[in-house]
Amino acid sequence: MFPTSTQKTEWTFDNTDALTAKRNEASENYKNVYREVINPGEDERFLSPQDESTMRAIVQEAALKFGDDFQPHLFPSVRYTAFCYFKRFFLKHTVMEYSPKMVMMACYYLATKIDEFYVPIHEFVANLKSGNTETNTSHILKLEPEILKVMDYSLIVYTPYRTIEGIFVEMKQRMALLNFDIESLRPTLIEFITKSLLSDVMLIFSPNYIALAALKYGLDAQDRAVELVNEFLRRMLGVDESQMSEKDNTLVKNIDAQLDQIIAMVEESARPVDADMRKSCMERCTNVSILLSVLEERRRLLPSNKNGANKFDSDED
Amino acid sequence: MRECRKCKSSEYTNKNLIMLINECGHPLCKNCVDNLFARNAAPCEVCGKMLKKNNFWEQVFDDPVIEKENFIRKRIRKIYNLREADFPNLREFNDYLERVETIVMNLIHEEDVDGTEKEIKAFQEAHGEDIERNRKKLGPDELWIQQQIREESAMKARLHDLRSTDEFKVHQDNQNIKEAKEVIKELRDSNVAAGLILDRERKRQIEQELEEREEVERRKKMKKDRKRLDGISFAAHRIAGRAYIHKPVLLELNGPPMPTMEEIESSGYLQWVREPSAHRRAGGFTSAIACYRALLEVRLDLFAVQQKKSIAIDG
Repeated sequence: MFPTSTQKTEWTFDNTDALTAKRNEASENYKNVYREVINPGEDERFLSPQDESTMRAIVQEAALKFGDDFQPHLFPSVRYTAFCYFKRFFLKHTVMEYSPKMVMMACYYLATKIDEFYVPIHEFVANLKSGNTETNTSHILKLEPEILKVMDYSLIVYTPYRTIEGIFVEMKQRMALLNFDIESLRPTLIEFITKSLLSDVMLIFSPNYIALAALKYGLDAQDRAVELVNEFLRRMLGVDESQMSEKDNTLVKNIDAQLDQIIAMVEESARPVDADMRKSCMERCTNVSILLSVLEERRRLLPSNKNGANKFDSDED
Repeated sequence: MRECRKCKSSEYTNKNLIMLINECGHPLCKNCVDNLFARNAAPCEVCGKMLKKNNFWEQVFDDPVIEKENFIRKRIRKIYNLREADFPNLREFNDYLERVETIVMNLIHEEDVDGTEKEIKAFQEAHGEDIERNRKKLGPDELWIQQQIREESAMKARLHDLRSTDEFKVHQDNQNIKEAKEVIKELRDSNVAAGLILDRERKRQIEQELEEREEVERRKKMKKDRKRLDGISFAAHRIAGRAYIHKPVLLELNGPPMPTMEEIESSGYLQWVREPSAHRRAGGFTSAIACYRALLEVRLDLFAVQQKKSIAIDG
């Protein structure tokens, strides 16, 4: 159950600032590794937090499509789980350290296992369009345990899909007098959840909030009254609008405010990365990988550093 | 289960069954060997090889092939006993070891026995001196083993000495002092003649000694019995520790009230949920369970997140 899960205790954060702080910390930690070999001025060439976020967005966009095209057809929850792993991983590491694309693939692979949709590795890599089979296989299998470790083995991810079912059942049961077919909302709701994968809402809100936000978004998108959400909450609480206590009233209002926040966050990140940004980001990535190989070489030559433990470099496709 | 193929007696029918085996690797029970080999030599029942009664030994391994292999290895080892030092380089020594293995395998599986025997004979003639010399002196492996055994037994003896002298001495000393004191006291206090008392004491001492000897014997026997019984236990394993007390886990809903399972079933919730397929229902999965889970997930923590977030917004 969600309240006792690691998803809530370890991987739900207060707000976006907390996420940004964590990401910056990971980035700084990584840069610090090269502190003693870097020449003045060169640290300008590292990716900025903005670049990193663009990089993640590019990979996530591609991964969304990857999930759609995957054969055999995936459960939506597998993709949700994979994205969740991906976001968790890059809270503790930066895209300069690990190739985000390979990490995403490894997350997918791990998610198929955890969500009981196991696809053997050879079938899995057959879905990858770039790279050759052997290197892809070895990269994914090598990353898998690292991801597990970074996530501290918190593997179960609660997704909003079952909550959506619950909302539908509850609405059909308690709000029988609606003048439209509730089922017609379903595609829009699922679409919203899919869009939410590109944002960070799953690291901040619990799955039932995301599902309720989806309901609100769906009602709005189909030109229905969004007040239905509040009505729905009141029905669940078992109170009538006219005789609501002060406490219940603020509760419903607060929840509603949260939903608006979720919808805003999702719409904010749902915008595709524009071509210029993509291009400049790619250039900077190439630049960084050149810089990193130079730095790695310098570090290897340092007399104090005997362990050349070399994680594989960021790549930029 | 072991069974004699001649008389069909097995461990089940004869508790004291002893299986004997000879170099051809065909086991017989002891009774059959006594009967068949009354004249000391006879052909094997199975393969017809001439066997001598004296050459039978008790079968230890269930697989007769292993017994046969052991026998052959013992024999070959006596002839092929060259050491690494007898060869110019490691390569040749390894070739020689390989050859020995081939010979052993040939003999076990009876391939080209004549040729192999000839080879062995030729080898024996060619390296007669080396074999004789190696037979007399021990190789490094044997020396090492012997040393280990020596050290182990020495350690055991030391430990035993230490323990017995320590305990026994203290006990004995105390006992002796006490007894002596008592005798002196009696001699001083009682009216009985001193000679009588001393005689009685001596008699008692002898008796005690006898008793002690018996005690040692008894203990030895007990130890032996215990060893035999140690491997078997019919009782359930007992693990000491505090008894487990079950505390039911309480899941705090922290959300709007949840309808009970009965309400879900009676108040029409189920019409909105897909019926599970027949084989899922057979596995105990009903639509009410699915419905309950979905409804629960809507409610769980609906208040909690709100509490936390409202703080974040206010700040």
